[in-house]
Amino acid sequence: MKKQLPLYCPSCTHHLEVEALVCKNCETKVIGDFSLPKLTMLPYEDQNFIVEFVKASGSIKLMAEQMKLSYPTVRNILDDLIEKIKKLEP
Amino acid sequence: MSFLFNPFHKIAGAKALFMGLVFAIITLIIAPFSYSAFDSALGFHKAQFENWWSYTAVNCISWISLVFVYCIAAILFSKTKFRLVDIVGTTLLARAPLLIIAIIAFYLPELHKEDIQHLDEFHLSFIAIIALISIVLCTIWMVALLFNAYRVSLNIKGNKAIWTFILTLLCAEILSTFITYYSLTFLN
Repeated sequence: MKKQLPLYCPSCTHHLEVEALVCKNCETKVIGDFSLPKLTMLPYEDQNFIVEFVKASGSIKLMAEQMKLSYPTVRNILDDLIEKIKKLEP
Repeated sequence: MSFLFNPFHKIAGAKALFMGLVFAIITLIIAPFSYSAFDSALGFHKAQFENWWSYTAVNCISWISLVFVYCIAAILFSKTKFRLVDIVGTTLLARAPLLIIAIIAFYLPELHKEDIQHLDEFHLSFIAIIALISIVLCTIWMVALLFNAYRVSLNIKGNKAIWTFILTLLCAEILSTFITYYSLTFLN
């Protein structure tokens, strides 16, 4: 089973932040107050879309072929994603 | 089932245009034989024109009016970079139910001027009633397809999509009726 990074607090639905990082090699722990990178705040499907979009050299046409969707449908997904990223910006 | 009402999720652009053209050509071949005049964006009348190409002309006027008004709506209401080929293709494919209407029209009786004067004596057969209901259902199907073509091509969502679509369709209906009326006067 692939674990997904939890993004929102199950109690108050606020964005979660990172408090500790662990090195799996030497077991060093870094404790602090870190914000998650903008892209990791997006849902898993959106992150996956961004990765595939970059791999397709930013071609909506190629993405449409890969996803077996029409060109405007993929462009609409991208438009929605742009809006979501804009909302994440302070 | 959802594919029947929204094929544009998977088909748009040149592919939709090609498929729509196939449906449109078959419809235009049948139309003069069943006297089907698609004389406005949504309108259908059983009418006898003097020339067979009048049926083609009125259908083309209706579709081009629709494309024109969709483009205006895209400029006014959409924030996305829309493509003309998507609007042209999806609107033409959305008019595919017209092929069924053109076939059903064979089973519809013709109304003459004298029939209108004595409408209380005019009786519809059972087949004609079924044909009329089928035409209404096909028109509803076409409106649903046109709405989804509008949503996908222009990326407009929610309530804004509904009210701008109603406005767009109304404008297309008025524009196509107006152009058809003056064109028919010129053609016949």
